[in-house]
Amino acid sequence: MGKPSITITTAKAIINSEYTLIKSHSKYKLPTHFEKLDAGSTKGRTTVVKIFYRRFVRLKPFVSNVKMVRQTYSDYLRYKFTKEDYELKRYLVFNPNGLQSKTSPEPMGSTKGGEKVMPMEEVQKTLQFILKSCSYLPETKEQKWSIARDNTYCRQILKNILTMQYEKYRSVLNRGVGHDELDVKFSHLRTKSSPPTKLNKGDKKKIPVFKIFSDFDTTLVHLNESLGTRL
Amino acid sequence: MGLPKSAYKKLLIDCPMRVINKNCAQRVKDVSPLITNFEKWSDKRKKLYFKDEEEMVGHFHLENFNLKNNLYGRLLASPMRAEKISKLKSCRELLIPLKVVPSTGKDQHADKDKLKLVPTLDYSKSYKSSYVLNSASIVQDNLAAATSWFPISVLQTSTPKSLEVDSSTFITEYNANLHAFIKARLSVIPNVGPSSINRVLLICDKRKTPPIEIQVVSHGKGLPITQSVFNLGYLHEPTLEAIVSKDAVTKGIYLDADNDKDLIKHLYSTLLFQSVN
Repeated sequence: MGKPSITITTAKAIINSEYTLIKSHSKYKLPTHFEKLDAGSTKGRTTVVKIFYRRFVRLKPFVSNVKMVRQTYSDYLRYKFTKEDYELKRYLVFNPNGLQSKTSPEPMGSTKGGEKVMPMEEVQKTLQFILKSCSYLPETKEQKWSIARDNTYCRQILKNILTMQYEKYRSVLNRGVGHDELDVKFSHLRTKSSPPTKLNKGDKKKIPVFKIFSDFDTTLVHLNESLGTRL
Repeated sequence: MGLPKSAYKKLLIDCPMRVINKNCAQRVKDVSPLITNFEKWSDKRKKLYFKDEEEMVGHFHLENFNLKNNLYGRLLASPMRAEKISKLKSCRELLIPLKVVPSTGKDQHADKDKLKLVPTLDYSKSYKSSYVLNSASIVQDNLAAATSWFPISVLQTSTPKSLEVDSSTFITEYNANLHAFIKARLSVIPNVGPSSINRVLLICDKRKTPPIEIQVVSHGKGLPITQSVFNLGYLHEPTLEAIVSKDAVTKGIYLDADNDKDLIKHLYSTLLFQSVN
């Protein structure tokens, strides 16, 4: 016994008992003409970054129906576009012992004269990832597409990233973990060189919390490496 | 219907009488904006509609990431579960599943009601389970509170005395099981050549520092592909090292990313388990 269902078709969408399926894609399409703009000039690059940021924000209603999740999504976007030092994060994941000694060189390319260079291909792949996670294919029992499975994976991963982001936010609020420790300095990815006996009580409590975040972020960076995205 | 015409007029939107008369037929055909813009307030989950795969890949340039065979994708897509030590949520596959089994220790006194919590390799539905994080040192430090790691449903229904955790063998048992599993699988594995996508290479090198590396390998013709390199030198297991480095030429073995998903997953979690953090 299936649910009683009714389908309403409007000019822009098909609405059935479960989803609102948007038919017009022009607003969400991957930008293709940005290469001309991204010709090295700072102004052109700013335009390209804005183009991408707008696309990501437009997908906000598709990410979730829950206001809190949508808020987490847009906060995460803003963080990724403005604050995050991804090169440092990546460096820490692949060189877990690299920063133990103070003499080791700082990661290359983390700051290039204060101007961050957005790697456009990676951002485009990421936009593909998000688009895939909000897409719908009309599958029937006879007709199935393998890409639909892949889209489901994308959606689950996006959902988990947002949950993790919310967990980070919660632990900043309630656990005495500094926001800069997780988001700016990535303390959770650095190896603890000092033995745990020397740590004070507050730091000791942070160890398991950091381990959860570091496992997740490490795997996420590995995923980014293998797909060429920047989630 | 038996309503007088004046009642209808009262219900209609206030508009001059002659307009109604002139455009009456047309007005009836017009559909309310409640219907034409229904997607705005339908309050259903919004999705982008694609006709079929062809439209998605061809016109929209969305590619298939093949996440099904991507280790990291599978790990990150697993459902979120609460973790017992940090009290946070994390992906199930990144945690160690614990299962509740009836205690089978010295059975001279009535041990039937006693329950024991043991780490397992794979989550299975047939047991009540909970999860702890995947780190040897942190689990070791927190073993004193291990009885609180039982699933809540068990904690609520049983008395504290009937619950037990064998803290002396907790870590070693898990570690031994994990290594036995990996050894058993590795010893029978055929040395497949490097596969074209999602390839995993096992090496054993004590000088190299990172346990997990991802390299970009140019693959003859076509696009360069990524390969994950797991360095098992960190596990300090001579037998594993022997298996891995038996092939002197390649100094490592390639794993079949499509068929040995569980083996690759366990190797990854072993490396995270041992890492000092």
